Amino acid sequence: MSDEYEITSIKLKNYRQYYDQVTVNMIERDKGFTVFLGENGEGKSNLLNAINWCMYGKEPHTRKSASLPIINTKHLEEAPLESTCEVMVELMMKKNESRYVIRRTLKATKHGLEERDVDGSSVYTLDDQNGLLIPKGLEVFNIKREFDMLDGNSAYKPGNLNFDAHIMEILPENLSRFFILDGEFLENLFDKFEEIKKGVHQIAQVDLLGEVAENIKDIVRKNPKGLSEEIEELNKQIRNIENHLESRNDDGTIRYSHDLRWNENDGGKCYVASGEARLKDLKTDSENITQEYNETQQEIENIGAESMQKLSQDEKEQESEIDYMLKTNTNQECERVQNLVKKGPIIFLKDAISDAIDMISKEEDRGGLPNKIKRIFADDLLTVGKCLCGNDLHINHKARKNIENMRDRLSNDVDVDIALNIRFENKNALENYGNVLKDIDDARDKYETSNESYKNAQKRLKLIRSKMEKTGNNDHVELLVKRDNLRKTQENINREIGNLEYEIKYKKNELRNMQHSRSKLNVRDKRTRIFQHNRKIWEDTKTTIDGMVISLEEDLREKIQNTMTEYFKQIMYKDDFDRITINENFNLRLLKTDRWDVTGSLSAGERLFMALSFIAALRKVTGYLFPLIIDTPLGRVSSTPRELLGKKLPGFLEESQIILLATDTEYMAQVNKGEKNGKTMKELLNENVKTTEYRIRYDTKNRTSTIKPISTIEEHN
Amino acid sequence: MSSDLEIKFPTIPYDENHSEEYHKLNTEDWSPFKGYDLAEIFIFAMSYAYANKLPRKPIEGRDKKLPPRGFDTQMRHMMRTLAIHEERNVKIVKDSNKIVKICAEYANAGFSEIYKKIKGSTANRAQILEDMIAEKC
Repeated sequence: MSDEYEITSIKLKNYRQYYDQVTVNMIERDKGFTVFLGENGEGKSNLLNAINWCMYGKEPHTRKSASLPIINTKHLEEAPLESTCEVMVELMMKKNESRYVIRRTLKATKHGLEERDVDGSSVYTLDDQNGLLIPKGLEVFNIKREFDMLDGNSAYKPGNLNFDAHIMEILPENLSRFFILDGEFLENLFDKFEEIKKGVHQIAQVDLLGEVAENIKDIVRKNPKGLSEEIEELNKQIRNIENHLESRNDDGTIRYSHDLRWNENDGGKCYVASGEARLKDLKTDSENITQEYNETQQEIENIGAESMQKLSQDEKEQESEIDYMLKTNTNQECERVQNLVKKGPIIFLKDAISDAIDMISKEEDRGGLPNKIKRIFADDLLTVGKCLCGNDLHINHKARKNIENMRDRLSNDVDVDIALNIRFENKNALENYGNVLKDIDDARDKYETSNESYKNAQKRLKLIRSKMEKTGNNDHVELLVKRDNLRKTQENINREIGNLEYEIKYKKNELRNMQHSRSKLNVRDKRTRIFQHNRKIWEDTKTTIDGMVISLEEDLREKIQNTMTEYFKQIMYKDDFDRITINENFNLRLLKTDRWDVTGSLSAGERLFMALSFIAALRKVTGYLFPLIIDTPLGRVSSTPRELLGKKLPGFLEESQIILLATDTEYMAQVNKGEKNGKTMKELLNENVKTTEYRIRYDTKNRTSTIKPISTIEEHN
Repeated sequence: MSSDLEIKFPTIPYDENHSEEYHKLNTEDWSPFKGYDLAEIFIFAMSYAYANKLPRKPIEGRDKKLPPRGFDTQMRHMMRTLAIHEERNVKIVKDSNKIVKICAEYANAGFSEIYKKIKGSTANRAQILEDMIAEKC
């Protein structure tokens, strides 16, 4: 027995075009597909809206220009003033032996409704009330949501869960858009990777964990008041570095730079100023550039001759070599700079260092150092009460006073003993002076060698490209220029990524050292010790949660990626691809067997199959087995994939209820018009599955839609 | 806790008129000090001035402060070393205020020079520093 949910019927009462009461029974999966046929504007999309409204109180498939209110206009006209108008959608569902009723009813009082003139006809002026279009003058006084279980014909309230919790169990709202689909959403699914990521995160509760981690971070960052000046100062610096790494201002708001993001369609958005957030922006742009670069490359290859392809291959190899060299080169430059910043002062101060060593040694030789031992010695004499010469050091004795004075003076001079540490460090510095110079020379040599290789590789690349330009036609040249620009932008971004990664590593190290120092200072007093202990617990908790978030997300992505590849192989009509990959930003890539990314050059049909595979994978991985309802799926799909979809859809997601909404052209017209015995989508589907069709018809005079089963006669006609 | 931190080290002043330039050296792509602490720029400027025999330059305008925590043991030892050498007196190490004053004057003298060299150079970031060091090797 299947664990899938099925919609057994939908009842609409005065919902949008649907006047009075309209009930439609859906076909169970083992009996075939339910298909609704209707032309644009007749009410197909409002069936999707009805399901959404019933479950979530929202209508996501409404066009912005829509002029119909949620409540049927004929019903509104007929209702007397100050009477109650009602709109209701009821879904009957089942899963295994259980049956459910989900119902949402809106009741409103009709006062004088405001009207306006549009192209000579009078229409109601509409108010957007929490996403619902309500005529002005209609006062909503009740929205009722009911979730009942059915036992025979009687309904009862199941368990203690409220309406939202029941719906959440069936299908969470953020997932609904992947199950109740319109063609446009399917077509553009892969441009919405941010939304996909968000949706998948919500489903797996990854975002919830992420929020917990963020809250803990805030707790960890808060410091108790009244600490020593030293700790306060350290806290301030730690906060500064943390802010730098997170690109935040002191008030916690994000700090932006003035550099525009690469994507010009991004509304002039700037990069954040620093740290890991900037790195993330840069990496996202780098990936987007790679995608555009790959698409351009694909275009170049598509229009190119064999020689061009060979050159393209050489070019690709050269580019990946350059990428590697650039990274190495950037790292070596950073190391070289660090070496110079840290060791330069030692070189500059060499004479002063030698001189100070001599002076400290002389001071020690004349007995001026160390003061601490002399003070201890003086203390011992005073404790024993005898001078070196054997005389007693009685209280008030002049000799005792002298020794006491000497001890006090030495106490003041104990700080001078640090000079011995300085001498020790300075001696080390001078002994290693040769190495300091050698390190600087070595770092320079390494950098120059790698820079030379980098330049040579660039020369080789330039040579290859000039050959390509000679080989190619005008289109090639234009594409090559575009690709060249993308390449340069990418190089700059990658260079910054390299620098930034190095800087972040450096800052994090600095942060660790400061945190370590703070811990040591904190140990001094009890109050901070307790605070430190608590902080440690929070930090450990955060580390654990961060780890969980990463592994959960990776696990989820891997599962979706693998399942999606399986489904795609099952449904796709070409077999020269290897797999689908999903990266951490939920960018989807289709890789061919030669590992070449072909995502950018997919046809509308291929994109549809990829989207369906993604949705199928999402169902399987998340375990939400809600029916698949697809509105106008074949929009821009060409005849070959259309034919294939007709043949393969019945075998795809074998146990899921599938409800299609289509136009006559999509469904009843011959798919392959060029062929003599070409079949319609219906005929193709019927080779493997029964279909039950309903006709949605809009009566312009009454401004209402009806839904009726298509009779055999109409079908033949 | 290391012994040098037991001696209280004051905040380290630098000329407010250099504040924007310090910030630029710390943040601009062309600067070899991008991403480094201001303390590191201070030490570099100070030692550069010493090596190039630039006369100490008192801070004329209002001063801004660098927190002492940014100056690690090695940096503090460099500052003390320069002060011992300058004052010809080992005991100066116990007078942190005086050490800081001497070093701040050196850094003040060196800063304008290194800023000019860095800003005016077309060489790569490492090369700029290396050229400055090479003059003294």
